[in-house]
Order: sequence, then C-alpha cells, then structure tokens
Amino acid sequence: MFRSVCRISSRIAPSAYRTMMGRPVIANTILAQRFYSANLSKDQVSQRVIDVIKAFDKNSPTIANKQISSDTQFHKDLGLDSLDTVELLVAIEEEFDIEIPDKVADDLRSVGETVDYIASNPDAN
Amino acid sequence: MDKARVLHAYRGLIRAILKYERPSKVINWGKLQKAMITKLEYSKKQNPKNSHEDSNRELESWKQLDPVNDRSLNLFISDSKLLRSILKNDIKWEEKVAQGQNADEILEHAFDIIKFLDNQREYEELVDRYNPGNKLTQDEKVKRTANVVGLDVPR
Repeated sequence: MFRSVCRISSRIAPSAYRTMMGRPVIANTILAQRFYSANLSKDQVSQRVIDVIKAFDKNSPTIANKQISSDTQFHKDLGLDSLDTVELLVAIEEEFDIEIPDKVADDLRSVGETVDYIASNPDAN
Repeated sequence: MDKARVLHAYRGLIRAILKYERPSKVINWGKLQKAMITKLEYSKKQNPKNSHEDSNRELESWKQLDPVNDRSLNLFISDSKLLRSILKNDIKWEEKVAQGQNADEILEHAFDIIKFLDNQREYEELVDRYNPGNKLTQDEKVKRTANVVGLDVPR
C-alpha cells in the first residue's frame, strides 16, 4: 500500500541523486518505508528481489529493460557471469538481512529459486 | 583450482568489503540527506508560489530517509571492477580452473584477507565504543570540558 505511494514519488527524483555511491540505487528501495512483519509473503519477496536486480546495473540497460519473472535465470536471461551472480546474491542477502550458506547459494540459478529460499527462511526480514 | 572454491572466496570478499564500507557510506548518506533537505527547503523559501508538489514530495522522502537503519541503501560494494580485474588478469582464475592448476595458496590468501577485513572492522568498532570522545568536534569537546567544572562556554 505505502510502497506504491513511495514508488510514485521516487519516479520524480532526478537520477543524479541516485548515483551517489558509484552505482545507482533504485530509488523506491531507498525511499520505501518498511511496514512489513517478519513473515514475508512471496509477492513481497519477489518484488524486492526484482528491485535489487534492477539496481544491479552492471550490464545496464540490458537488465533495467528486461521483464523479470520467477523463471528468469541469472546466467541465461540476464547475462550475468558467475562472479556477477555472486555479487547479486550478496546484495540480496544484505537486503533481507540473512546469510545464504555457500552450498545453497551455489545452486541458486533463477529468480524463482532465490525467492523460494528467502520465503522459506524464517530470519529474512 | 576448483571453481566453487573461487566463488566462495569471492563471495566472502564481497561480504567483508560491503560490511567494511558500511559505516562510511552511512555517514555519506547522512551528509547527502542533510544537504538535500537544506537545498530543497531553501528553494522552497525562495519561490513559495512555484513550490511544486513534486519537490514537496521529494523533500518529504529525503526527510524520511533513514541511512542508519535502511540496509537497502548499501547493497553493493562501491567498485568491484578492481577486484575482478585482479582475478581475471593477474590471477587468471578462469584458465587455472580450466587447466586444473593448483592455486590453494592464492585462495588461502583470499581467506586471510577476509579474516583481516572482518577483524579490522571489529577492532575499529571497539575503539569507537571505548573512546566515545573520538568522534566529537573540537567545539563539542570544549563545551563538555567546561561543563565538567560547572561552566558554560560563552555564546
């Protein structure tokens, strides 16, 4: 509910402010207030994962313009190499305040798998 | 050289660097937030008639920004290009993986760096915690010193 309001307001923020830290950060993740409880629904998780992926602008604008769904594969569809995928997963870890064990992280290849893992992790918030 | 181990080392490095950079990034965001709020409020005062709904909303969103608690501000390390170029050009990890060369020493080194960064960060946090005066400005220190003996600095 509030997220959508924030998202509208974020569209008008000039991109100059977003590039402060070297890499642009998607403004709606900056400005969104956190109103959710510890139990995340899958929709929320996938929305936030997609926001993080869009903020990961290494191969922009290829990623920014792509339609990201749960079937999207990091390597095949987004064109990320193995090191990019590692960086992206660390960013997602940071967003949800969890640490994905190495063994699990090696097997995460698509957006859907990542969302499933986070939704099943009770520590994610 | 095992690809999975290289990726584990890389993941560890990224995590360690991200955490290491966090305090300074939080400070920078705080400064930026302050500057933006001042700027927007100034321009609002300058032309009160033209004050746009958009700029009001922008001001509101900057005011709501919470650099200390909002983790999503710092999801990526500032620059991973250098790290990647070292991996690619100096260590040539892809070739070594392909040829199955032994590179345990390099990996050991990477894990040592991770430990160093984590411990250095912890050390700095402890130094800050045990010396709360370190971060005060000179004026603040003078004021507090005066307060200790029951005085106030002249205004």
